[in-house]
Amino acid sequence: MATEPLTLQQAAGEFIRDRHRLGAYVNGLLRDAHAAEDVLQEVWVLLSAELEKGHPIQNQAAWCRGVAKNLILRHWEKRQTAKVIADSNALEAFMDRVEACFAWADTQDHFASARLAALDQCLGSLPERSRRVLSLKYTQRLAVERIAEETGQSLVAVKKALLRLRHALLECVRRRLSQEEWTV
Amino acid sequence: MDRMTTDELLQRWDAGSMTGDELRELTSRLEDPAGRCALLEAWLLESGLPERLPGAALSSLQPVERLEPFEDPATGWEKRRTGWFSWRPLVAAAAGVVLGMFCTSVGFAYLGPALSKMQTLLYDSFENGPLPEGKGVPRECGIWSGDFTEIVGEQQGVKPESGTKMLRFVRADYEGKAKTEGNHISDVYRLIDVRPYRREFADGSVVAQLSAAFNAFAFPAQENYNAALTLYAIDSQTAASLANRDDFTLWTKALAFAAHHRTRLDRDPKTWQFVSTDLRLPAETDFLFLHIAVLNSSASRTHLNFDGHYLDSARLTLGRRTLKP
Repeated sequence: MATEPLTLQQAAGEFIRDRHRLGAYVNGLLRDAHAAEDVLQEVWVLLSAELEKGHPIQNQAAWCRGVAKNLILRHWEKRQTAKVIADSNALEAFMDRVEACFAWADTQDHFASARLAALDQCLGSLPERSRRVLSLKYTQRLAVERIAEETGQSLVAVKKALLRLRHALLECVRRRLSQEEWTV
Repeated sequence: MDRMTTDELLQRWDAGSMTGDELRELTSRLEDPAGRCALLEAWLLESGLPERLPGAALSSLQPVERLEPFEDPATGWEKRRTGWFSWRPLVAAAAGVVLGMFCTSVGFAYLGPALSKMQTLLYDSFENGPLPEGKGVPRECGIWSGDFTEIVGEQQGVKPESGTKMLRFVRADYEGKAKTEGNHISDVYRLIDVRPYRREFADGSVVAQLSAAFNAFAFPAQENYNAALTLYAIDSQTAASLANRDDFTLWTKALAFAAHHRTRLDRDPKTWQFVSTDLRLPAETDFLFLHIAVLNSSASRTHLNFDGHYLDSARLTLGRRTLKP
């Protein structure tokens, strides 16, 4: 049976619905919020162009990740930074495995939403000071040096605090999810 | 290599300090369901944090801009309906589905003809007024700010669409931007206070329309550029922290938004390309946030500079239109 091509409207809906997973994929691989934003915008541009040509896309989430992967590789190639692993075979194998992880998550109805809901609760339980440090890092995107200036802490203390907070949030999310599973 | 936990390996990846052996070890851990979950959870957390944290508050928001007299839109403005979408994220998040989208190109239609009793909130052909600032997202109403741009007269065979001046996109970065490598989008933004009109759009029948004209010099054939418009309806709280938001985060914080990213610029400096996007205003809207950009989509892009890409006749209007049931 032939699949009806997605309309732009349907594709936009799906793109928005999947934005957390796609954002995590791009941001996780790139580790650069500015570059990740550009890649996400470009994925949408390319997706809408493809649909306008009438080309059917069977699995939009996987298609978007495939396009994002190519854009990320191109970005790395241009930047040639130390973050790019010299061993391209190892990197390729890693990216394939990451794709498999996200393809699995696509099949789980509430995987992302449950974790993000838990994250909201965990953030709510953090002291104001900790939330501020996270805000400086994640919403203002300040360098660690600037965060140290803003908070009056040493560079090492800020680095440690960020690592500790991230770890604590991750553990909190996992704990909440395991409690929910237990009580269901 | 000491036996590291998967979380520790993921931290090494995140820090960009991973060896080849560590990467192979991490890859093999991802075959296991526990490793898979560890990666997904860590990366979801990392990308989910920006939209869940408060931004820095602005010291003040300026009052509404002075309204300029409105003239009927010039004939020949081509309304491009493809390549854009609009969205009510808060509703969508609550319901688990995407609601509130409308797109005339796929069959949704408005009742009646064009906008009636149209009110122009902004018409800028860059003839006068404050110079655009290259300081990133503006912190107040009434100014264009974003990446480096400049006001110019006719140049490189491009004549202003209206008047004698136009805005030129100069670079894909702004003063003090932390990371500039790989940037290939030159943006300008403007914040518009619509609180004085809230009574008008409280019933959901008002549509905001953002339109603009784009042109470019005869750039090399192997290069590609796209024009993009995005119009966000936001509340005061989001407006107060705009400087700390990126587009992707704003998508989730806005009450609604409409975007058009699909107009490819031609290489003919004699022709202006007109782009517009419409957004039905939610009743809670306090501000409209305009984002206008040119994207360098060339495979060979290597630098931040834009050599001759122009914007003119940026217009924002409000008009009443009702949806067909």
